Amino acid sequence: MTVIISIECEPLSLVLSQANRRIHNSVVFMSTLLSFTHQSLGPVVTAFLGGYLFTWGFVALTVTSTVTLGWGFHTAEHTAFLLAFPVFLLVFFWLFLSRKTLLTHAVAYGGGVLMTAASVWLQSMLLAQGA
Amino acid sequence: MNDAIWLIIAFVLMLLAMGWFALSLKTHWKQVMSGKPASRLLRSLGWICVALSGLACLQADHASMAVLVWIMLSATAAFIVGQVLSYRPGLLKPLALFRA
Amino acid sequence: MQFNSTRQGMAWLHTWLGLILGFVLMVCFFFGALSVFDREIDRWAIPETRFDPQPMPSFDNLLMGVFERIEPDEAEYKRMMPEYHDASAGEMTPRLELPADEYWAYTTHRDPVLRMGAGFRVPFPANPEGHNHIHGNTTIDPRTGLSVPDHHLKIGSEWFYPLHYSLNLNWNRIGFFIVGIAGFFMLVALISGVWIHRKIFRELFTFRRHKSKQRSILDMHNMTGVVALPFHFFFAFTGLIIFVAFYYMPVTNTMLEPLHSAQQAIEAEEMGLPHERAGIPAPMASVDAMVAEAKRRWAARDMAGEVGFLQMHHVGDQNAYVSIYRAGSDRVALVGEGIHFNGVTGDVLREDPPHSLAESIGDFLAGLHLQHFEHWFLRWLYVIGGLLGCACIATGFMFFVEKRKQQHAKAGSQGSRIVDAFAVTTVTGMVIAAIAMLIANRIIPSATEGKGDIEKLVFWSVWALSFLHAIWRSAAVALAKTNPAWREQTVLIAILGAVAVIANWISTGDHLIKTIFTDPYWAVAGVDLSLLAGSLIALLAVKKMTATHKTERKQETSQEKLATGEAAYE
Repeated sequence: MTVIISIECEPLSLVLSQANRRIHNSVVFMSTLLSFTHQSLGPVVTAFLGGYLFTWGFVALTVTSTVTLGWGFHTAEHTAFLLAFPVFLLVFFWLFLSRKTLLTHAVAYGGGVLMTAASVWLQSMLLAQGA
Repeated sequence: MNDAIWLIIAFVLMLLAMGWFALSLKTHWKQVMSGKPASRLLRSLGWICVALSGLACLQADHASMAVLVWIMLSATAAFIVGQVLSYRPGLLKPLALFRA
Repeated sequence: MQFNSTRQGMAWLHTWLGLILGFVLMVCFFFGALSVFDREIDRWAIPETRFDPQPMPSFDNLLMGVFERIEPDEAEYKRMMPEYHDASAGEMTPRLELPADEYWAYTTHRDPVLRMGAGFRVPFPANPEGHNHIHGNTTIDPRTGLSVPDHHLKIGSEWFYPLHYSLNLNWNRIGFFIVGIAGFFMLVALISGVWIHRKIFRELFTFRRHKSKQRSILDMHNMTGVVALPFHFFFAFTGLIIFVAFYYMPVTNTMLEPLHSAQQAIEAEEMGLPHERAGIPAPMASVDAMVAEAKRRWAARDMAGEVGFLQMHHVGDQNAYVSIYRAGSDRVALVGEGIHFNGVTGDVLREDPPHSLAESIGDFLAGLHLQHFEHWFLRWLYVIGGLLGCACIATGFMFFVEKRKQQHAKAGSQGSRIVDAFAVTTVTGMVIAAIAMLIANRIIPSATEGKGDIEKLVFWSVWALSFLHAIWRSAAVALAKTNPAWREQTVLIAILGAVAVIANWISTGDHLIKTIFTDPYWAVAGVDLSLLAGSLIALLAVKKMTATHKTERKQETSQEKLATGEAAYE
């Protein structure tokens, strides 16, 4: 008797449990995805942008300062870009793995902005001299 | 044609080198032979072959090109030796010369 | 982020960024490997051009006549002319009456056809300082000077090749930037991979294929990654270097542009090559004599070679000059050793000076990636390197799934199922799309209007279908089993590879016996043989997958039996 009842009832309970499971699944999936984006991708993005900004400043300053020292523009440019990715990688790993996140990010972002500003200033000096 | 012969020599030398590097490791030596390998000796043999292979590459090509051929040969040879060890380790027996 | 140790942080980076960007990197590596033989794939796809590579033909006797026949491109005229032309200064010149200002011709040791082009001057320009050129291009058979049909899509050099650095997504160059970011994180993944893999040398040769699936996949991932580590590193690095100044970090073309142009003006002055037309018409001297002189000077530097690129500036003017560059052949660095001649007198104006150390390193790195050199053996080694890279990324995906699918099945998570479907699409789906495109190329008649566009459509839609198929069959992964799409798509690769070779035979009459033995033509034979090799590898993989599948099934049924047995007992 119990066997028959259980067979009759199964479809409904199965459907319910499946629906439940589906909702549960998608909730689990979405929440993992959200926490992943929020907690983990965030630091990757800030480390990437910090590295990029720092490297931008580094390249700009290397080019302008070596040209000031009398290097040819293309030599300066090639040298700067050869060093760009090693610098970028170092800063990225440093920012991503550091424990003092605030400090390191301040150094990288601030350093990038400072170097960029310095290179723009050097450029205007060079152009003024040339004119 | 001369260049082709030098390249073949370079490739064979690189295969020998990688074979000896592999046999200098205990786990791989055991796949081929009993006992323990004379690791240092086998490894030195390997390095000598790597160097000779580089010289053979230089015979075939301009230096800038030879470097690339040499590095790519090392990758290919290491992969082949790895596969040989997995499928037919017996093939490396002739290289298992020096037991500790 | 706070990790307990650097190693943990490195492991996180390797796992997650490798996963997300691995899908892009797979495309870069696979189509990059195909690009090694892009010109040969072009020959396969355009049978009209299946003849041997030719050196640069005589300028005076042949090229000059072709240049004079080149017309400014109609679409470009319509688009650019109103922008370049100053209507208040004078009437707009009709398209076919535009005067030529610049001619160029370009070939390599692998090109049977010769690409040529002209730049036409715009009279009454709005901005006299600007470039102001309307262009016209053509491709000729250098043996006869006749144009060859230029409307066919060069599948190798105009589809697979740009795919590997731009994904052929040209909207705002978005593809370039995606590939650039992927390239950067490739370097991150290599460094973090080396960091977390402690037994680099001790396990270099280790592939325990009899151990668990997870173990053997990880072994293969490590082996393909480590043996070709220099290749992986240098190709990601040099790929980035090639585009960095233009796209990824255009410091000197944006922020420092004023300094750049100022310096360039100084350099141009030092070079002594006339920047502007004199405005006085003059007859041109023999360019063939200049070519002979350039070759003599290269030989004197112990680097004898053929002409790769030839350019005439200020055509028909007293300030005309001709620049002749050497074709890449026996060395890696992409230099050209340019020699510039006065176009009217034929005298040497200037030889490009040797590059500085930094520039030479840059030349070497770019040349290493762009491989203009003549070295078939090294080309094949590059293909092996690229395929090892593909194997490394593919096994990376598989390991990710294998490691998690049991756990995900228990928790009811769909994570590994989705990752696995993407992996199927980028591993087998990509290969299917490429072969399907080649088959479409051989089936669609040559005269069909918009043939190239249909081929592109086939490529994208087959790839999309492979994704739908992978998703449709993916339920198994959520139950910690293997997605049957892996096996089904691999079977398809095995079939399609052979079909492509047969389609080439039927449509052109070039079968392997002919292209290898009776009338050797290695470009086509090589593509055919590679397709067959692909088929064979796919077959072996299918065999292996079937065996694994059977053992999995056996385990399942015994578990089921056990379960039903237990139930019966209760």
